[in-house]
Amino acid sequence: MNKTKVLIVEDESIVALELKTELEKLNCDVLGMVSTQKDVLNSISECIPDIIMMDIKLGKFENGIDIVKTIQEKQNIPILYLTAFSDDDTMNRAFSTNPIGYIVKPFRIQELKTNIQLTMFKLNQYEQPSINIEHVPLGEEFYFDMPNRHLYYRDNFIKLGKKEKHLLAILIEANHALVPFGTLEDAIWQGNETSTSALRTLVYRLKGKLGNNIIEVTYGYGYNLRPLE
Amino acid sequence: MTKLICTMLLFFTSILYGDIVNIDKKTQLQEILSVSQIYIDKTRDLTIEDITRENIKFEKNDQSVLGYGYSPDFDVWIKINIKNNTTQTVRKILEYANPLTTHIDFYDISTNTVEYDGLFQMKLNRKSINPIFHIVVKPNESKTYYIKASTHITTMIIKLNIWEKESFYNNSLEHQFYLALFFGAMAILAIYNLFIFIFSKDISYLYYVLYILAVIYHQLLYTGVFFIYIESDEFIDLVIQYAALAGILPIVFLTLFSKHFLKTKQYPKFHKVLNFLLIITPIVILVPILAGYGSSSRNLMSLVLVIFLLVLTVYSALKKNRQAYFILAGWIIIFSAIAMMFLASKGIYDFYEYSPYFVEIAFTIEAVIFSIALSDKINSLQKDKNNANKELIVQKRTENARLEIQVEEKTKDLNISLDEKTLLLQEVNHRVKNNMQMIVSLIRLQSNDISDNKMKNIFLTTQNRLNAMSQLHELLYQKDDVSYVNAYEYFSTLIEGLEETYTDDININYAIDADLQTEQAISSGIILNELVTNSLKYAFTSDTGEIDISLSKDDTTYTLIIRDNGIGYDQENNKKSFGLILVDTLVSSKLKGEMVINTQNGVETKITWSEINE
Repeated sequence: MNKTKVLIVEDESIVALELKTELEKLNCDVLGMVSTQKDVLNSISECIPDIIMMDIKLGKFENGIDIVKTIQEKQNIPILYLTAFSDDDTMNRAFSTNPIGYIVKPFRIQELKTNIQLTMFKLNQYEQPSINIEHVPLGEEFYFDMPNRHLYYRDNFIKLGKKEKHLLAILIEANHALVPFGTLEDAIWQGNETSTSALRTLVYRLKGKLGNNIIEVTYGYGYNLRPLE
Repeated sequence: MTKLICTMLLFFTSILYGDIVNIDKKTQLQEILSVSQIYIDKTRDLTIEDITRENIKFEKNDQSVLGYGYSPDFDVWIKINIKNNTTQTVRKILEYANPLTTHIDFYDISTNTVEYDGLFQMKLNRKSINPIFHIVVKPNESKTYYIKASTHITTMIIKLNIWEKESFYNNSLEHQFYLALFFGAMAILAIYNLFIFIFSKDISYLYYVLYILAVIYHQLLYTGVFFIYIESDEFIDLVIQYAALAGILPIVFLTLFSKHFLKTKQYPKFHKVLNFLLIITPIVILVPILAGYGSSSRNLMSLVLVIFLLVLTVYSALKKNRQAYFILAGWIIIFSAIAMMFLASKGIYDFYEYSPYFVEIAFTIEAVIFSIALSDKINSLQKDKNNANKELIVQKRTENARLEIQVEEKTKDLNISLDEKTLLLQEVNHRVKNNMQMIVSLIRLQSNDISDNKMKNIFLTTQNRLNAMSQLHELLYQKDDVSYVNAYEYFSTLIEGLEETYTDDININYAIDADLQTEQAISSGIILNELVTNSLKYAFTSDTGEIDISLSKDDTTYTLIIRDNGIGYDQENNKKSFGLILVDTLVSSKLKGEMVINTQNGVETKITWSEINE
């Protein structure tokens, strides 16, 4: 099995260094640490990475999302954003490039691990895994073990936070039907008042682990699981 | 042929007997002055006896009206021969057709009687405006009458009529009716304009009212109506003595009216001359009267004033002064009336013969024209006011538009400034988070090199403390209102991080009933982080346990309780734990609150503190 090749695009060298250390712990091959579009494109032309860790604000003038769009004109490389931006505008723009994940700085190691591992699972197509038929299929080879509330990609366990588990469980129980925001908020936050961004942030985090397509949103109303084909 | 002879006969008869008036019952009205004889007595001494002597040469007169102007200094003797050719006694009324002559003596030679009438010796029972004398002529009788007319102060105009009685009184009634009509119309105009003056406070109206009153006064005198209703001789004397006033008052008030109405101030030279004339005219006219001697200059002065006013009015009209058109129209009428009266008083032209009410009609028309002029002035004032209003509205609109533009610009500036500030805030937030990331990265990189578990633990705790701070920042950054923080959201996010670090098998129950003040949130967050970390790390020997977190607010006091159902600990031995020292410090120095720790059944830490008052 080949090592997963990761290109780090990050203008803050200390953060880049930490990323490199953590990725290497996960047995990844870090192709380089760059911070300009020119270097990114050069690096890609030398060796195509499996994942690009992409910062959004790069120096004073460059923007990670723009670089991603330039790359995507030629080839499709999985992107994992890692940025301090958590405003709606930037997030919407970032999600329009269909990334495998979006991690907000300062990040937790666990978040990074889950996102990278999931991508690695997807990239390394092993032989057909043995899947427990009790597990609920979510599509795209994700499964959820309802009694234990464990998420699997094929037969790989993916660690979820408590609220992430709760959210996923509610959506599965709804059986692909639309669940209003209010119902989800009441259930997950036990009736405590929360800001509207809390649920959205939670869903983004979950999407980072499940991929973009499994949870669907009806704007202004609620979320549902995408029906299986 | 017979006709011709008759005509010839009549012609010669009229020459030979031109001074004989034939009367009969059928003829209703005969003018007799033109068939009388006149003698002017300049001595003013002659009596009837002197007159009837042969040596007085009466001259034949063929004028129907004789005018001698103001108070001529002679007596006028009129000799009238009347013959009754019928077989019946004829009774007639002889009318001296002018009310202003002061002394009229009527002599009947046949009966040797004399009757007196005139303004200064009015017959008590007279009900007609003009003096009248009764004549009785028997069948085929010829009679000679003498009339001596003299006048002081007033105009002397002589006109004589012989009337059938009924006809005379009918005519007199008619005359008085027309005069009443005139005075009525004028009085109504005066009252109407007086009210306008009271309501509008425009002095022009007052002068106009005074002018009309003066005209009424003048006409009362001039037509003689005044005298038949006044019985006091002294009063009549007084009025007659100041008769000049009746002439000058209308002109003075008319001048004052024109002055205000035409706004003569806009023509400074005219204005000065007008003011001068207004002062000098009454003086010139009144001083001689008060001094007691006659004056011949009063007419001249009035005339000067009137002509000057006329010139001024024409000038104003040429200057496109709208009011002047009306005044000018009024002037033309009034001037013609004055001219007529002047001509009549001089005996040059007697308009009474053709249009007896010319003056009254002229005055009425003129008064009406001036009334219209005043109404027009109200109209134009109203128009001006409307225009001013319109202008004001336009101005308001312009001002509003200007303000709107200003507000727009200001708003634009403010918006730009706000955008800049928002951008700056974003930038600052971004940097704070990046810096936080750098610190966390540094610590994590450092801890990678550490193999000692205890040290690793310290680094992990530090990471969680930093997490507590950066989570708060993240929460605030996403909100518009930064004075309060949603305590549940904040706490649960922190706990989630702890669960990830340590274990998520422990049940954590929240009872959060309050929001935190931002200033106190960071301290509360770190306190919670420390206390829950302690519980997660030390309280539970197995994988099961409960942690209760409650935050409540009573008025201004916050109470935070963190309780676990674990094994508890001995407070004596744990005093030096850095986590507890940190909590202790934050509670006492940051929150200025109280902390009570109970370690009997599990650990229960209760912290109370007060809200900060802004």
